[in-house]
Amino acid sequence: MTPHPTPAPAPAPEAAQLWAVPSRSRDLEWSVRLLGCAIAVLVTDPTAWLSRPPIDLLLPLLAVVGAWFAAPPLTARPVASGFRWYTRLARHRNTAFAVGCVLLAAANRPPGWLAACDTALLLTYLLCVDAVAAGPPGARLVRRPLALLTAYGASALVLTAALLPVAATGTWARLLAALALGASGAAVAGAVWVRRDRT
Amino acid sequence: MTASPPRGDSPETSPEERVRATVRAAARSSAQQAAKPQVRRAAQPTAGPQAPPQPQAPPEVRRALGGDGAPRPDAEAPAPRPDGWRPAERALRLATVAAVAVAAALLTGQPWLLALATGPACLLALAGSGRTRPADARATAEASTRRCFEGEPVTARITVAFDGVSGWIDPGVAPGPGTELRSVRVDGPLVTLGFTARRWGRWSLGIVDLDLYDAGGLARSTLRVDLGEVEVFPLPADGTFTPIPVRLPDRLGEHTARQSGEGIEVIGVRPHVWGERQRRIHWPSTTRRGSIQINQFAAERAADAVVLLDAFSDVADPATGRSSLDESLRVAAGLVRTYLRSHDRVGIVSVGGKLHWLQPGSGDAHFYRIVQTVLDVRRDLAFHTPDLNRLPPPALPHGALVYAVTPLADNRVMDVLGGLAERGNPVVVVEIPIGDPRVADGDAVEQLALRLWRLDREAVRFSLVEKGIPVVPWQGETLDLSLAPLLRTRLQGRIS
Repeated sequence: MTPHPTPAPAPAPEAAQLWAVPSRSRDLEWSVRLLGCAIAVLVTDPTAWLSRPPIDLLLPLLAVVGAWFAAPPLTARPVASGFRWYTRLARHRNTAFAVGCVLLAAANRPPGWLAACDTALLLTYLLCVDAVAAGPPGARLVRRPLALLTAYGASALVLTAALLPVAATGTWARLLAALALGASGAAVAGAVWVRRDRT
Repeated sequence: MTASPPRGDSPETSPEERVRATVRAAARSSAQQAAKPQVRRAAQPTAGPQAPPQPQAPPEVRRALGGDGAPRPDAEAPAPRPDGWRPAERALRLATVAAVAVAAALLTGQPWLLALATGPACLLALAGSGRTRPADARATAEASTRRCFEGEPVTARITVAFDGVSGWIDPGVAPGPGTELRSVRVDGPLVTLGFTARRWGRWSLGIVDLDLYDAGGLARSTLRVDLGEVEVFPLPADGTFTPIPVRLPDRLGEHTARQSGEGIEVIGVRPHVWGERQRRIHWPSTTRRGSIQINQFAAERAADAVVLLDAFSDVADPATGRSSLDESLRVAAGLVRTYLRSHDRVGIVSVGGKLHWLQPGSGDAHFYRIVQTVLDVRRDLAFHTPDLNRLPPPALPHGALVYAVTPLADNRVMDVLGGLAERGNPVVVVEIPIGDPRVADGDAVEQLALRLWRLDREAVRFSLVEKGIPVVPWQGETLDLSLAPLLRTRLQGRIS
């Protein structure tokens, strides 16, 4: 007979708030929505708007409209309420919005400062959604400065390596970016290894 | 005739005073009627003021209920979740963004897109490290009570035991059809759910799906917990009057019988017999007649009452939405409680679907036995007419007063009532109002149909009166309003 596992210890009083259920805060919802709209505008490369035909301005408009509906964090329980494609899309709309932003960013060739803004804002959006919708684990991550520093630092490192003008063809830039990505991964793995040893 | 409250009541009078005044008015008006049982018209439902909107449930309750957070009494229990661990929404989101960014970088040749993948990849790596997820998890549920009345709170506590580390327990609740989720509280491995018993019946308290997340929130496993059943008793209708039949069984009680006995009510005098107590001598008669006269007292007996519950149909009032079966059982419970308080014996027979019955008994515990007997009538609805002759004689004693609580919405109950009248039992029909069907104002055909419908119900009541069965309406406030006209005389059946 399998022995009955011992009950898990109750959380400490100061950590009780970390067990809070995700709730739909109106202020936070509007903040994340505005953040999503800003990302949707920036990934369409506003510096090139003037040089494009007017019909192309429809794309940023559609992106903002999509961000308005899809960017607010989804706080409902992850339970499938239907099997139609639009039901599933509505359930994963935060993911769909982030993926759409990546695809829009890939469709343009933004200047370096705009790429940095895209990278920082998209990572911030993902952290905000995690903090609101992913429950206590996501909220705990926001309260760990080392983890935030690691994520932003690794992104900045990769972006810097990718934007370095190594060669006119850009081939070396890709190689350097890949190496920087590997180095970032190794650094994260090292940090994880150190944390595991401590715990 | 429907009893109406006396005019001139000041708005400051209390509700109890108004009810008493209404009962007095009903008794006065009934005393002026003829000796035969009266046909009473069911009180028409009035469109009262709109109910105030329900306060919005707390966010944790809405999240646990899923969807828009609105309670769905008729919803089925959710399908069981897959066993084992599976990726959580957070892991899917971060992994998808990282994979799409890497693919876009490779396809478009823009190396800076790899920076978009780096952040999510770092978050995944940081969240997925270190802690071991629970390999064995179990949950035990206990409820604060398994029996309660309508409107009372029921608290369920679920204790989750697991090895390893869990970062979050996310409960999803599918409440039973007669319960409503009011609060959700998660304190580590202890999940406390507050319910309110909303409707009488034997209901499942609910099914809870506990999502156990690992420490990083990247994977989840679902644990299903059944909270068990709860018996919700109806709130009995208030009442104090206990009309009695002409013949009472030979059992000590509180009702004054027509036979002489050892009660306290003087019914006459008679000549003294040697050996009787001198304290009972009636001196005025003794001096008047010249011989010793003794006070004669009435016997005090208990009554036998049987409540016949009509569960043939469950009709929703078009105006108020109230269920006729819900009201029927509340009225039946009120009758049972009123007679049990006066130390009478009360039994119950429910017709409609499976035949439930319980022979008359007395005592406080008998109230709960009676209600438990009929808690399942809603589940057993069927379409055949029961044969009361198959009931054992103790379930329907000869001469017992029978209260038929019925909305008179199904013709099969007429056969049952006719059979009861032929058995000789005194029968009283307590009519549960079901309201008029909704019709369009300008539609002449619908207006005519409504008129025919009302005439048909009048005909049903008239046919009952012709059989010697009085029909009293349930007016929604207290049973005394309905039973007051019956106090004018003792009820008699065809064979008394």
